[in-house]
Amino acid sequence: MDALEELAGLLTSGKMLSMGAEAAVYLTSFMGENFVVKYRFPKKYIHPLLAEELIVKRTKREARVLLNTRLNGLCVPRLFFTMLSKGILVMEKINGSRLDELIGKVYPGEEQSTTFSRIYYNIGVVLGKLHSMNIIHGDFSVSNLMIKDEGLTELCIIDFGLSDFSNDPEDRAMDLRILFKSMESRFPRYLPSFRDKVIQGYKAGITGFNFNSVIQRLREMELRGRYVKERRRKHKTSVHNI
Amino acid sequence: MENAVIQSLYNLPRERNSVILGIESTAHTLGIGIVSYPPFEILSDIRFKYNPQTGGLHPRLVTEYMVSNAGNALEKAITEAGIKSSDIDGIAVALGPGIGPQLRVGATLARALALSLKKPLIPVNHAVAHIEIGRLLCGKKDPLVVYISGGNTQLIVYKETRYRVVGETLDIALGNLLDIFSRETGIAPPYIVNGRHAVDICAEGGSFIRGFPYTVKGQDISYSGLLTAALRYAMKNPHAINNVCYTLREIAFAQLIEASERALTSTDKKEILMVGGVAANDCLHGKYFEMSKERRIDYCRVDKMYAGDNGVMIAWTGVLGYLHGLSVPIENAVARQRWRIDEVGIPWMP
Repeated sequence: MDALEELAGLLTSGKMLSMGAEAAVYLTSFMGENFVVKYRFPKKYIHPLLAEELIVKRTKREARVLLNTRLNGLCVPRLFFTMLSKGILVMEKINGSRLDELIGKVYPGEEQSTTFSRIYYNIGVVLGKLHSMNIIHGDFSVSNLMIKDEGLTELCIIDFGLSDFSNDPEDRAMDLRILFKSMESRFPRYLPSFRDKVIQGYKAGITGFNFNSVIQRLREMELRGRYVKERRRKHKTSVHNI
Repeated sequence: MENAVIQSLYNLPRERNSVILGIESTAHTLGIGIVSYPPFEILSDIRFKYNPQTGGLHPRLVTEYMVSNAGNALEKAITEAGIKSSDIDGIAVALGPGIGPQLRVGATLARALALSLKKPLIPVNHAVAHIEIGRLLCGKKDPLVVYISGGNTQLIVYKETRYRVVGETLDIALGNLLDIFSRETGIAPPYIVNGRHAVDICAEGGSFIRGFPYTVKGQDISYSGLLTAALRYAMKNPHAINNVCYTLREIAFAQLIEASERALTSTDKKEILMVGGVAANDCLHGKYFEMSKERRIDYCRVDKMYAGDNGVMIAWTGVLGYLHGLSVPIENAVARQRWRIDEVGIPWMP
């Protein structure tokens, strides 16, 4: 136990890269190699029993999904070490930029160029492949997509903290919805072309399930939000309009 | 509230004196508020809140209640403000989103007033009004807004001329979850006693039950599975009601906070503002306070007094609209039950 504590302390003593919603991410190095340490720590404002339930479940699932996707040839961080009881995962550091940073900072004005069109299409392809393995990302947002520095072509997915195994069209559609909403909240102007490209790529990337079932579910989901007008089909000009 | 502070929060082109009367009637409260600016001053704040003896909000009964109190409320608001009706520069009204029959009470009253006083009618989106009174009272320029009430649970940020919903409930609202649970298990009505919700009172001394569903999807959340599980458990184990209340509350709040943290990370906001009726919940407030301390960000909840629906927030948003010359022809001032916040242009954002 003491050795375990010590190791956990050591792993989380590096430089904090980010404080995510459910975990802190540290950068640490060992024998000249950089690693990312993801540490899900219990929070004061979450009940300890609930925190424990979530931490163990999510850490375990993230580890399984990272291995599975890697074996199937997708670019995700390589997993080196897990410490389930402490909620710790040690992973490869991907050298690249987050997609939202890339759009927002590196290439202002170029968000709709062919380079970016290719990236957007590729996002759809990669998500399609992921779904074809019956894996759901759970937080497939623009900030969880990395573009590798060299050549700006290889697309990697990070943060499988909310991932799950599922072949339900609803869950698949949810990944798309999260992606589009994350784009909308960061760069609303680019959403239409982004959406088109991603959906084209998604259609090309999937195997073994029906494309339309997912797209239809996505549409239904979008209508489910609060006060969505299209949901109300009839009585458009009735006595109620006073 | 000092003018300089307000000017840092808002882009207001015409600094002329304005007195605006605001009408709120989207759900359970008929509120009439009168606000003057500059300087910002609340001249009156009249509220008639419908409290059902049994069941929930029956639209017809709430509407009857509102109609029978409307004249009285208006008279009181003007008397309390110590002004003549001719001193009013404009009539602001919450045209939506909300429950149709109730909305029509406010819309009708507003049209009648605007016609008889010959003053402009300023349309106000109810959700925008919750945010603007919160931004004003908390002095927050560009926060992540957590808007929680009986009918709404949304995470909102301002981006490119509009407020955008970056996360929301996919089914029922947080307030709705607490209300339905307490009604079905018989611990309410009354839903609120001495400022505390029936679920909070019942949760006292409760302990955590493992295995209830916890659903966060990206920055969205879902409450209906949790509600079903809690109700089912409570029916089977009536003696464990305190534990169920406690667990329901812990999970519901944890889901919302996790979604908020995700939204904070993805939007890079450094401030949180909590508004809406459920913002008055002290347990939730405590948890947000802890979270913001841990993340070292600014957090503010709207003054409890203005968390629930009121006419003042409509009047204040009316002032902002009035100074930007926004108004609507009488014949177009109709109730809009489904008026999403991202359809509204916000010209007063600096």
